[in-house]
Amino acid sequence: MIFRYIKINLVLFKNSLIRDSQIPGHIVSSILFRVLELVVSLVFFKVIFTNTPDLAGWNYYQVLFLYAFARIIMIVHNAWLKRGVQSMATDLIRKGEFDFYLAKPVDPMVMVSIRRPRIYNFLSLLFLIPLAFYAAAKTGIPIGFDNIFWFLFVGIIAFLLYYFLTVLVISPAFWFVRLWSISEIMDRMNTFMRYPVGIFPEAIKITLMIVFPVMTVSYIPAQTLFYPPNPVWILFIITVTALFGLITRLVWLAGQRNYNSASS
Amino acid sequence: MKKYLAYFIVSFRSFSTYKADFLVGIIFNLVYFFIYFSLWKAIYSSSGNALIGTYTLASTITYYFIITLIFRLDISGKIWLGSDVWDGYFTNDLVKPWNAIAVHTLITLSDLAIEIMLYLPFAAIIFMFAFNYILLPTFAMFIFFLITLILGIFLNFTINFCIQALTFHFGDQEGNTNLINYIISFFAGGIFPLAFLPENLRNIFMSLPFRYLFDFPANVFLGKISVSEIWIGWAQMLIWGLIFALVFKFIYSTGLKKYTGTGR
Repeated sequence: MIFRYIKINLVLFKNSLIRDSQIPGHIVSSILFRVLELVVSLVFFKVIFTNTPDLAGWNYYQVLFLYAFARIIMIVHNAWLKRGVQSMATDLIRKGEFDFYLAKPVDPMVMVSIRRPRIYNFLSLLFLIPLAFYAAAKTGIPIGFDNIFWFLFVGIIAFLLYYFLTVLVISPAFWFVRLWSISEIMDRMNTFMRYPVGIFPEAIKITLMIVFPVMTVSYIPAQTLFYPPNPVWILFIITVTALFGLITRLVWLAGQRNYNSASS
Repeated sequence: MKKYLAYFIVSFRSFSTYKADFLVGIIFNLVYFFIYFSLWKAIYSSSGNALIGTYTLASTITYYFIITLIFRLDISGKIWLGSDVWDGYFTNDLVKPWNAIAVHTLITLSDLAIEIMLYLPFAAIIFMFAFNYILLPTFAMFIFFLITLILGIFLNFTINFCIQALTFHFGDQEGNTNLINYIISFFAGGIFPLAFLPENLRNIFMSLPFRYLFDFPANVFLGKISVSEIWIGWAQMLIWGLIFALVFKFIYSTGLKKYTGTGR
């Protein structure tokens, strides 16, 4: 079963490569945008850390790593799944095109998610991964093999959690005729992932670590890399991911039952 | 004139049909205010400084309060000239007995009007939340601020029409539009007050016209700019607006000769 999805995904990646190669200007501007975004963020962090030695106990390089790691999660999602998931809010439901995915012998949620990759967006990782390595090395905090192992493990779980959140956010599209703005909600919420949890008031902290755990996605993996891996946090992220996976799936299936294929 | 008024009313009604879409967009855009509120509170408290640049914590928070409002007036995502040219729909505007650019201006203004109307209750919520940190201007300064905002909208229109009209010459500009607007919002002080930048960088940013979109109106509201400087600022906004309008006229008139109306 899983091999079928891998095969479909590879075909879609190849298709994206061919399709996007036709518009090199778009690829260049997209990469330029990412580079510029990175430069602006670096200037912003410089401005912040010119005025303070740390943010909620995190030094400049730790915050830089947190930013780079959060961006890596977003970029992988952006290049692989975002466009497909977003199209639920903008096109598929409203125009009735979701029919095509219901009729195929694959899971509609997975198929919709992987349908429109933007493979060239992966190129942004060429800037972000070195930045993450550089920042991690410059923190001055000793990082052991156990840190790296648990960071990678928790990082993968965090990506899954992020995916579930993006699908959950888009699911109201099943019930509303036009609600394009929900396709942008995660872009707004992503900003929370860039800063240490400690700077936010308790109410926001609890909300964004448990109720809508977008901060969990970046903070727990980064914490696991810099400090002794905490079994409670690791268990927490596994549980939250499983729970949100279940909720997302149930909401999606309920939405699918509500879908009546009427286009406008 | 009557037909343009009718067009404005119809556009306004059309946008107001999808209030939920606007509301969701506005609610989640407020996220930025709460992030920057928490962030700068943490920075001021951990640095122990009462002043950063010439800004107290209250003036910084007020700055973001105003920026949140100005972002609602940002028309970069509300002009459809470029996409209409690229899709070929622009032919509909050309063959009808009206001025195509006036029509695009009106539809954008109706979008702005509904967005600002729906935003006001949320501005009140932010104000109540951050009451202790928001500095209110004198009545005279508030009037100056409103006039500056209107001039800022005019400048923003001329800049964005220039960018959108490039579609006539170079095809789809969606990626470039996002890129350019991101650069502009950075140069304009849409991410943080320009006063926080190192002096040499700040001098460059202050010599560009973009600061009139965010930094200048916010500082008028904060009362950081003298009346004589405001008059000079308004004159410069008008001059820059006229320069961009002339550039647009050139790009548009030469672009029309190339326009085939075929669409993609």
